[in-house]
Amino acid sequence: MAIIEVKDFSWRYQSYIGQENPYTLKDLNFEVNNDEFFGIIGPSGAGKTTLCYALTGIIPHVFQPSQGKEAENIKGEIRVFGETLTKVEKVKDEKTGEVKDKIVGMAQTAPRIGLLLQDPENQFLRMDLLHEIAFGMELLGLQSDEIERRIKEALEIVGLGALWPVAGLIHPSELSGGQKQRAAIASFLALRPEVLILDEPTSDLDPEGKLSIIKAIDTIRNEYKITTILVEHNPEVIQTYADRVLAIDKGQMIAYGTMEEVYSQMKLFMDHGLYSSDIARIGYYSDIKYKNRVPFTIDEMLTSIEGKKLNQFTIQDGQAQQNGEKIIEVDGLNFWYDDGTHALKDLSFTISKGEFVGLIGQNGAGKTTISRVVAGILRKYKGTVKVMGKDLRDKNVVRNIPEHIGYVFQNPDHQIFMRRVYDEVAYGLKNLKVPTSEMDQRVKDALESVGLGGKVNEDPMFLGKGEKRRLAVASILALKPNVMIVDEPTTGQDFRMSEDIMNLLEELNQKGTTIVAITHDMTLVSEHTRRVVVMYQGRAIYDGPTRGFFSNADLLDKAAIIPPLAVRLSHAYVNKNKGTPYYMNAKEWIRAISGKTITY
Amino acid sequence: MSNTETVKSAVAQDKYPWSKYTLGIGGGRKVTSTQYTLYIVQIAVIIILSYLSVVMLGPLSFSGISFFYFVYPFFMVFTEWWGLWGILAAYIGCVVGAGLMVGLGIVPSILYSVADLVPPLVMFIIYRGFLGKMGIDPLFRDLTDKQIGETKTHRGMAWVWFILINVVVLNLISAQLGIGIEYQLGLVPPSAYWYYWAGWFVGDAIAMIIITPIIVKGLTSLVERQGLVNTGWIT
Amino acid sequence: MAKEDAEARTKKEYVRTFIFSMKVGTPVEKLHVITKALMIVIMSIVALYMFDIPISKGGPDIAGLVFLLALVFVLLGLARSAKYLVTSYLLLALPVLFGEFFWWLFFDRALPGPTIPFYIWPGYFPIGISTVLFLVVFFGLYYRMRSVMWPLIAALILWFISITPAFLDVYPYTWVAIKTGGLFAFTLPSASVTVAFGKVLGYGVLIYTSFLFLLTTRDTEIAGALRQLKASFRAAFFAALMFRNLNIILIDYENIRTAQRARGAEVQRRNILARIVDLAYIAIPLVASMIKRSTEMGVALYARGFENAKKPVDYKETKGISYMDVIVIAIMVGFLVYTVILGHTIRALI
Repeated sequence: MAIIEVKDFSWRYQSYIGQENPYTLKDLNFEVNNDEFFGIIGPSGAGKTTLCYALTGIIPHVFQPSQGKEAENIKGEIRVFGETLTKVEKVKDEKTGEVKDKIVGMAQTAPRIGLLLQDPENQFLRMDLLHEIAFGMELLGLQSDEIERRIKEALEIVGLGALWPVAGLIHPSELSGGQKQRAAIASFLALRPEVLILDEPTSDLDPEGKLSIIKAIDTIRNEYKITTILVEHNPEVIQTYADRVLAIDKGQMIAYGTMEEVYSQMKLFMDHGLYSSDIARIGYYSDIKYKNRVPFTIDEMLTSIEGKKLNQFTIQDGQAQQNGEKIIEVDGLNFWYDDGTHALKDLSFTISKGEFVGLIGQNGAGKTTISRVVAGILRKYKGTVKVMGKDLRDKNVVRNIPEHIGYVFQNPDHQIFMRRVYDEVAYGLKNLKVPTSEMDQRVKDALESVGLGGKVNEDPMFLGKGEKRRLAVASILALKPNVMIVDEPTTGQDFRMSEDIMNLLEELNQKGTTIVAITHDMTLVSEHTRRVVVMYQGRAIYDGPTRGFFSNADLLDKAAIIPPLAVRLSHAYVNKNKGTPYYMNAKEWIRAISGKTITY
Repeated sequence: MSNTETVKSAVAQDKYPWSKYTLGIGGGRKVTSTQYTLYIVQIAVIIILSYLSVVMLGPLSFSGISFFYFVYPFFMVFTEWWGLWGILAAYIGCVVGAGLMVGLGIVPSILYSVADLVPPLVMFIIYRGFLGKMGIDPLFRDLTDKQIGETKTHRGMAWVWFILINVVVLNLISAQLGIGIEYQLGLVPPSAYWYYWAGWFVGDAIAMIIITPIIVKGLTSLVERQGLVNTGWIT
Repeated sequence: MAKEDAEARTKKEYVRTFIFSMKVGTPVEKLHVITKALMIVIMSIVALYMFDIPISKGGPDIAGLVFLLALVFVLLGLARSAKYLVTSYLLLALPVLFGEFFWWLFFDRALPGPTIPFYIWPGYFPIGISTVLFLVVFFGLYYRMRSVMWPLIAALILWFISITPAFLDVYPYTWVAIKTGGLFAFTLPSASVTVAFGKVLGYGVLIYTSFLFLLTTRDTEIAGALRQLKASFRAAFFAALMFRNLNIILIDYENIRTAQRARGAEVQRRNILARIVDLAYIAIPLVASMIKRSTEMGVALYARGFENAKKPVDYKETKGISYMDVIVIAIMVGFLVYTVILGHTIRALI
C-alpha cells in the first residue's frame, strides 16, 4: 500500500526580485510503499533536499509563495496516509465572493513524519540533551512519565543510553557531530513516527560512524515498522538497505524502480555524475555481467570473473619522493587541547616537495589537529615542527606561513568574503603585499587553472557548490604555496564534482604543488594519493605507500578503516588466487580485466 | 486571470523598487516559526558582533564603549530589513554583548543600551516613512549601486541624507544619551566627559561610513532575493 | 571508544554554563536563576549608590564596597568556578581596573578639601626591602618559568605594592627606598584618591557580579525561569534558542577567522582601520551562514511539530523556589533598603 503518493508535482522557489527561478522539482511521479526502505539519489543540486521538504509539507506550507503566486509555483499533488498533503485549489472567498488560488491539505505532518537534516548543528534546538529529545513530546503534550520512558528508550536504541543519568546536564557543545546526529534520530524515534525521512544524515561522519548510524536506522525500522526514506550518495548503503530507489537530476525523475533496476543503468549514472559502486563501475567498463546486469557485490563480481585470466601490467606507484626538498618536518609532536584531550601523541613525519599525501583516520583521530598545527593555527604544542626548514616556534615564521602553506577549508561558504570572483582571489595577495602588476597575472592564472577563467567578474554567491569549492582552491593557489592542505575536499559532493576536484588537485600536483589531502573518502585516497599517513587516536600508525596500507588487512582493522570496495575485492580475489597483486581501485581492476585505461 | 492583473496594477503603482517597504505592520500572514527563528538568530548575531566590537578592538576604558563600535552599522541595516526586530536586536545586543558579557554590570547595561535603541528606531521611521517616498532607498543600496532594477538612483543625495541622518544627527543623539546615562550613573569622570563623548561619536561615525557599504553590497541582495526583508514593522 | 567516553561522562561533576562551567551540587548551583538575577541587580544598584556618595556626605563607602566585592568572591568560590576565573577573567580585568584608578585620579581633580602631592617620579630609589623582594620574586619565578616577561611583570607589581604604603606614611620610606629628590610633582585633592579607589572597587563589583551570573547560569535555566514568570511555551523556547545560537555563531566565527588567517590576514602588521574592515569581512559570511542556518532551524522546528502544537507541556523545565532562595532574596532586599533607601553606610557600622 502506498503511504506517500506524488502526482505530477512541480515546485519552484519564488523569486522576489528579477526573473523567475527555474522549477526545482518538475513533474515528479512516484509512490512510497508502507514499511519500505526507499532510497533517493541524485547529483548535487538535483533538488533532493527540496523534495524532502515537499514530502513533509514544509514546502509549501512553511515556505509559502506570495498570494496570487500559488498556482504558478506549485503544480500537482502530494498525498500522505491517503490524505492530501499539498494541492492548489480554487477557493471562493466567502466575504468577497472572489475566486482565489489556495494551498490546501494537512499543514502539519509531525509527529507522523519525521525529518532528519544533514547538519546536526542546525537541528539541535535546545540547550541540553534531555530537553532536546523531550522537545517534540512536550509539543505533543504527553504525560511526564511517558516522556521519561520514551527518552530512555530512544537513547538506548541510538546507542546513547549511557548518557541517560546526566542527559539534563549535557550541553550541545559537549557532543560530537555523530552524537548530535544520533540525538536527532532519538528525538524523532521518541515521537513514534510512521515515516522517517533522512536527508544525507551521515555526510559529516567517518565511514565507520556512517555505517553504525545507518545500521541503527535499519534495526529500528524493522522493529517499529517505520517507512524510511533515505537520501544518500553512498551506493553501498543504498544497495545494502534500500528496497526501491528514485533517482532525480535537475528536479526531474531519471530513474525509478527496485534497487537492481536503478543501479543497473550504469550509463545513466555516469552521465548524471551519480556515485556508483566500484564493483559496478568495474563491471560496466570491462563488460562483465552478472545475470544480465552489472554485478553489485564482491561475491557477484568474483563469480562473474571466475576463471577469467587477468591482464598483467606493471603497477605505477610513482615512488614517494622522499629525497626531495623537505617542506614539512614534524618531530615528536604532542598536542593537548584546553580541556585536557591529548590529541596528538609523539607524532613524527616528513613531507617532501612534489608529494601527494593522504592524511586519513577516524573522526577524532587528530587529522585536523595536525594540519592546524602545521598551518600555524594551533600554537601551544610540544615537539618540533619545521616548515621549509624554519622552526614554527619563531613568531615571524608563523606569521609568514600563508606564503608557504595553503589551507583549503572544508566549507567553502566560510572562506568566501568578497563579492567578486577576482577580488576573492586577490584578497590573499593583497595581504601578502604582492605588487598590483603581478597580482593581476596571478589571479588570472589561478582562476584559469581551476576552470573559472570566464567568471572573473561574477559574484561568488551565485556560483554552484562545486564552483565555490574550486574558487576556494584558486584563492589559495594564487598565493603559490609550497604545499596545499585540503580538508575534506569532496564532502557532500556528487561523483562528478568529486572527480573534478581530485583531478584538479592531481594536475596541480603534477605541475609541482605538494598536496596533503585530509579525507574520509577511501575511494579517492586509493585512486589519487601515492602515500598515506594513517592516524589512530593521535598517533600515526602507518606512513608509507598507499598500496602497502590497503593490502594489509591487519592494519586496516587496527585503524578502523573500511577500505573501498575495489580493495576489498582484491583481498577476496587474492585469498583465492595467491600471488595476484592487490589492485587498489576500479581503474586498475578495469585495466586488469579488460586492458582498457579509462578516465571518468 | 484577474489575479495576475491586480498584481500587475500593484506593480505599476509602485514608483520605486523599494516602494513595498513601508511603515505598515507588514505581510498580512501570521508570523511563522521560521520567521521567528530568523529574528532570533539575527539578535544572536548582533550580540556576538557587539561583544566582538568591544573586545577585539579594545574598549576605550571600562564603559562598554568601543573606539570602533562596528556593530552599529550592522544593526542599522538589520533594522531596515527586519523593522522592530532589528531595533530589538540593537538593544538586546548592547545589553548582553557590549554590557553584561564585557563586565559592565547589569544595571548600567540595561540603562545605557537605550542609546543604541533610539537611532535605529528614528532611522527606520525617517527612511521608510519619508526618504523612501522621496527616492532614497531605505535599504541603502543607492550608496553603492547606480541602478536598482530598472530605476536609476541618486547616489549623491543618498550619501548626503545618509551622512546627515545616520552619521551626524542620530549619532549625536546616541552619544549624548549613552554618555549622559553613564555620567549620571557615576561611570564617567566629570572632566573626561567630552573625551568619552568624542570617542563614542567618532567611533560610530567611522564605522558607519566604512562598513555600511560593505554590508549592503555583501548581503542585501541575498536577503532580498529570498524574500526575507520585512515590508513593515513586524513582517 | 565512544562507549568509554559515555561512561566517563555519566559521572559528570561539572556542568557547562554561559562561560566555562561550574560544579554540580554547590549552593550557588542550587539557587534559582531568578534569585541570582535579582541578587546581581541589587548588588549593582548598591555598588552604584555606594561609589557615588558625594564627598560632602563622607565620600564613597569603601567599607561597603569591599564587603560587596568580598561577597562576590565568596559566591564565586562556592560555585567552584574560581579556578577558571583567576586564570582568565580576573587577570584580564585587573589592568582595566588599574587603568581606571589613574583615569579617575586625573580627570576628577576639582574636589574640595585638603590636597596631597603626587609624584610622576617620586624621587625615591628603591633600595632595601623592596629591592630584595623584587630580586627574589624575579629570579625565583625565572628559575621556575624560564621566561623573562611574566616574572618581570610580577616583580614590578610587587615592587609597586611594597613602595606605595611608604608614600602614604604607613611605614617610613627608609624601609624600602633611599631619597634622591623628586623629579616632577603636582598636587591632587586627597578626596580624589578616595573617589578613584571607590570607583575601582565599584567597577570590580560590577564586573565580577556580571561574571558571577554568566559563570553560574546555565542557558537551560533561562527558559524555565521564563516559564515560571508566565511566559508562553513558545516565547520561552525562542528566548532559549537565542542562547543556542550564540554557541553556533561562535563556532562559525572561529572557522571563518581561521580561514581568513590562512589567507594571510595577519602576515603584515595592520592598522586599526584595516582590522575593522577585516572584521566586517568576517561578519559578511557569518551573517550569510546564519541566515541559512535559521531557515534549517525553522525546518527542524516544523519537523518536531512546533507550528501547530496545541497544548505544549513542560517536562522538567522549571526549578522550584527553595527556602534558600527566599532567604537570599530577603537578605538582598534588606541590604538594598538599608543602604540605598534609608541612606545608611556600611562604614558607619564598623
